[in-house]
Amino acid sequence: MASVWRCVAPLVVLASACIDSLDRPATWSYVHPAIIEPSCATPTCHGSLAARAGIVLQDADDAYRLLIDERHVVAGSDASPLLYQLEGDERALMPPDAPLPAADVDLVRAWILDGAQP
Amino acid sequence: MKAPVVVVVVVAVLVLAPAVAVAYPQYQFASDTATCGECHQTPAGGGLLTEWGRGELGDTLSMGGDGRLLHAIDEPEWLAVGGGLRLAALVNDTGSADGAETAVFPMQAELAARLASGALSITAIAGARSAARDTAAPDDDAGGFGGLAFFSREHFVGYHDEASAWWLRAGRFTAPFGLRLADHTAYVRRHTGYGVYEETYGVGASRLVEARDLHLTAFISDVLQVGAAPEAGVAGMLEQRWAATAVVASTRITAGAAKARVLTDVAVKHWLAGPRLLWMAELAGGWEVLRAAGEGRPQLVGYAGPTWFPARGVNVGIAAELFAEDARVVATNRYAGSLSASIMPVAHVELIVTSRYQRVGTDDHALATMLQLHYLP
Repeated sequence: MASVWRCVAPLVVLASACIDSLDRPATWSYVHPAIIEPSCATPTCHGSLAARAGIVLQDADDAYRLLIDERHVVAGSDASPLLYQLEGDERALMPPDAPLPAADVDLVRAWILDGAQP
Repeated sequence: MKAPVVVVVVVAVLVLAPAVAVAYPQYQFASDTATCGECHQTPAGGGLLTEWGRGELGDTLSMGGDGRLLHAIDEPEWLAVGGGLRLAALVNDTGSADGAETAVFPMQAELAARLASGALSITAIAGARSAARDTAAPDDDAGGFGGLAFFSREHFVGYHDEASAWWLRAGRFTAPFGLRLADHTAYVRRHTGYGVYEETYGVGASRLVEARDLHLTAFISDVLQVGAAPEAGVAGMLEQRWAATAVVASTRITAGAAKARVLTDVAVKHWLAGPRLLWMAELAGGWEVLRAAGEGRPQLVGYAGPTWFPARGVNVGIAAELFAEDARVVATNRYAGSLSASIMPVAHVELIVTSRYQRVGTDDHALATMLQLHYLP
């Protein structure tokens, strides 16, 4: 019985620790490594190797500058092009193979609406 | 034909039509072979085939034919040559405003070679890399493919001491971990650090004995060829086999300036000889630290499903997958179900059809169907 409990206990702890998707930090220091880098900066897409469309999102600081300078992100604006791409509305969906979870897009939106701070 | 012309033709065929022999973990047990290293020239599978592996290619894995190099050539002990050509056609529906994406593209064209002298060997796999989508276009229109460019997935020096059963490797190679599925889109590859071009540079030691494989690797990310974020790590994998069952336990720890992650993984394979079914399941759980944010998150990645071998040269598989990028946030979970069929009408030629449905979060989905033609010289 003790061995069964040792296996089940971590899952119980995990389940009891469930949080709302927007309880996560809506900051670039979280959004980049948690969502943008693993989903977009892959070697075949926006990593340094492929650099699709000339866009590299691997490094947090470089990615931030690029998104702001090229106006993929407009601080405070729900009409930021990045959001259209992540939702596949009026533009080709990004990532193209499968959408991001809506909860992740909502967190990116919250960061942008909150001023898109670095 | 004069000798130099023959050499040029052979090299041209190998460069233009050669293939990657990737690992096919479903063939363990199903091909009357218990270990990956019996069929492959590497301790953990994948890549060039051994003489035994080439025999299996013609005998048990395909409907027939000669599994030797270019269907006829016996390789000398000091040289192994191979590679692969993979052509693919894809239809992917993500619900995007653009509609379903379609593409026909050369997925892979590689040459692989291994030179050996006694216990020492040098192995390299190199060729053209491609992509399903245009890498240069400002917008990702459907169709077309990325420009071909030279790329070497693996290149390493190996030392294999048969008496002690130890293998040592140094260079760029896949650090053994988990099931090592051929499909790079599978969550247990894509989200565990084994996506496309994510092989690492490192040193590895492996020991292969009758019922047990042990692999230990220390590695750094490929900052030169891929330009990956600098990371260092270690991976360990232990496979224990019984008559028709293998249990694989793995751990992978990586650390870089932006992130650190610990993943622990258990995988099981079980072969049912009567119905000719190979069951495979893998579950990896871990913790990822996002340094700049001062945050951490638990992650889960899973795979489970059977592969049925109804006849020689044919297999059909179904699988269910899970990826929880933050296991506390259920709304970010991804689930997938896939159905695939593989037919190898003759040794060296494989046709694969795969259909995969992904449920992303609570509202989104993607349905991709891909046809692949794979030729191994």
